[in-house]
Amino acid sequence: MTIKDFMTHKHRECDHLLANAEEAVENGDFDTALERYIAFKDETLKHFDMEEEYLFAEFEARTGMTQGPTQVMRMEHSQAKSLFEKMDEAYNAKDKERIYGLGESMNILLQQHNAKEEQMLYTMMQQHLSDKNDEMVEKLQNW
Amino acid sequence: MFQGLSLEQAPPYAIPLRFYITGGVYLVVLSVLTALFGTQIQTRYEYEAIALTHVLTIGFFSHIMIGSMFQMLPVMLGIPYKNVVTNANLIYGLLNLGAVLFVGGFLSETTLSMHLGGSMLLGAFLYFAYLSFNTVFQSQEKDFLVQNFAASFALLFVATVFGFIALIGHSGFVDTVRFGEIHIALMLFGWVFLLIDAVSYRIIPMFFVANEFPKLLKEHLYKLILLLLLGFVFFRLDENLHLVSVLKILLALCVMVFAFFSIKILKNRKRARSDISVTLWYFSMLNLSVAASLFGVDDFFKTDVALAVGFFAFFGGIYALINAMLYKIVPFLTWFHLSSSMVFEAEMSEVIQRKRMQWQVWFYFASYATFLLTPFGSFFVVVASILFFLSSSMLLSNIVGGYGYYKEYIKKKVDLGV
Repeated sequence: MTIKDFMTHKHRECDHLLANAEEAVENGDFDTALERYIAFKDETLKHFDMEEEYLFAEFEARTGMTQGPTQVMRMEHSQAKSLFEKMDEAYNAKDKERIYGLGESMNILLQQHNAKEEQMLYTMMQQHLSDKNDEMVEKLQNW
Repeated sequence: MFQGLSLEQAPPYAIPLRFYITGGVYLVVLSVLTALFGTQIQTRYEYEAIALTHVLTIGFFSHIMIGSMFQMLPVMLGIPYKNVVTNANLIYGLLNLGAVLFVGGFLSETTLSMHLGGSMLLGAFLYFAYLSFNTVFQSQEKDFLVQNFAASFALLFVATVFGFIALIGHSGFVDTVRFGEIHIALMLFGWVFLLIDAVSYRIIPMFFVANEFPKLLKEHLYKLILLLLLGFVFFRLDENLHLVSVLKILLALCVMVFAFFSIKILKNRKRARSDISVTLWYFSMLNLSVAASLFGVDDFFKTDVALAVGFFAFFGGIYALINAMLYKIVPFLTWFHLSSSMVFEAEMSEVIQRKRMQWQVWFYFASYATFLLTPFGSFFVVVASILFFLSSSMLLSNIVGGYGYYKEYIKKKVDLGV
């Protein structure tokens, strides 16, 4: 498995976790929704950590590119984190309309973010770090 | 050297919004012109019909499509347009001057105005197609998405040339109808349809958490369409109308297959909640299927169904899809640019109120239903136009409202000295 395949697969997992939480909201089961939302949040934040603490650092060390795409990706991670604070409030308040509104923002933010990573950044990473592929995938799997 | 994902290279918020707001203005103008001229139109060859069609296609469709490309290509393919502000301004200027002169020329039957407008439109579309074609090939991945986009831009280029020849052919040196038909086929099945399919391949699975489109469709449908369109151009120029009829059926089938998979994939999406954009998407796909069916078999009808094909394709199909996309893009862009400017108080769901979107779409549906009654009396054209005037004014007001929301929050930030 390549770094790109692994990280892309993780994106899809997060998409499904958010959809699962919204499905519970749709059914009016807010306890399950909160549980599923927390699973989504934890997995997404873990994904950001993998990138910021490991992948981006390796990529920047190899290419010397510290102000390019990784910088923009970090900024978008911050945008998502600020949304999580609002989503926490909405899920705890069981505010259905706000949950959907914020969920829509989060979904589109993550999707356009993921598209840029999958279309550009992961491809570049794969090119520059191919010699360490197996070692890196193993580390990411055990994160 | 890396030229990619940098916020400085993404277009400022004002660029796509200017295209969207201008597109909305043309839509309002269209509803007024339809009320004034619509009752007289009997065939698509009349000057009024050509003028009204182009207010919709150039005024609304092209503004939204081009504005969206400036914003979406950097996101979908990870590559920005070079000198995006200058290029966007240049294309915007040519497009608007050209559209006004071109449409005005047809309505006033002034050849000079038509030709001047046509020349400016030629410049705008050829330059945009060339620029976009070059931009997509800068992508790291030369995958199906890049190929679909590239095919769409290439066909826009060719379709524009045929359209211009059809225009100047009015003086008699070419058969305008023949070149005009090729222009329409290339624009519809090439530029518009291939752009819709490329965007859908990416947008539907991502934004609705749905299955991917079949690989066969993503990787090969555009090649089949390119081939069919090539045949269409050749045999239409050669006046081999039997083969043209066969090619029309095959092109229609391509659209119907795509519409079928879009509906199926959307129906099985993981994000179950329905909103007005999903409704519009279904509506659009059904209309495109009806238009394609009529287009495929219209050579077997004794009456001319071209106006009906145009109505279902343009007004029911492409318009509805663009309306759906606007209600996804405008709130997101507004929120995204605010939070990129460190304004975190704004919320996407507040940018355009849900109720306002719903009302606008209900007026559109009412207008659509009333247009269907026009064979029973030209009175219905006026009623449908009034309903569409209300719908398009609300759409314009919703987009402008989004821009106002952005300005309000940016002003608050400046006032607070953040």
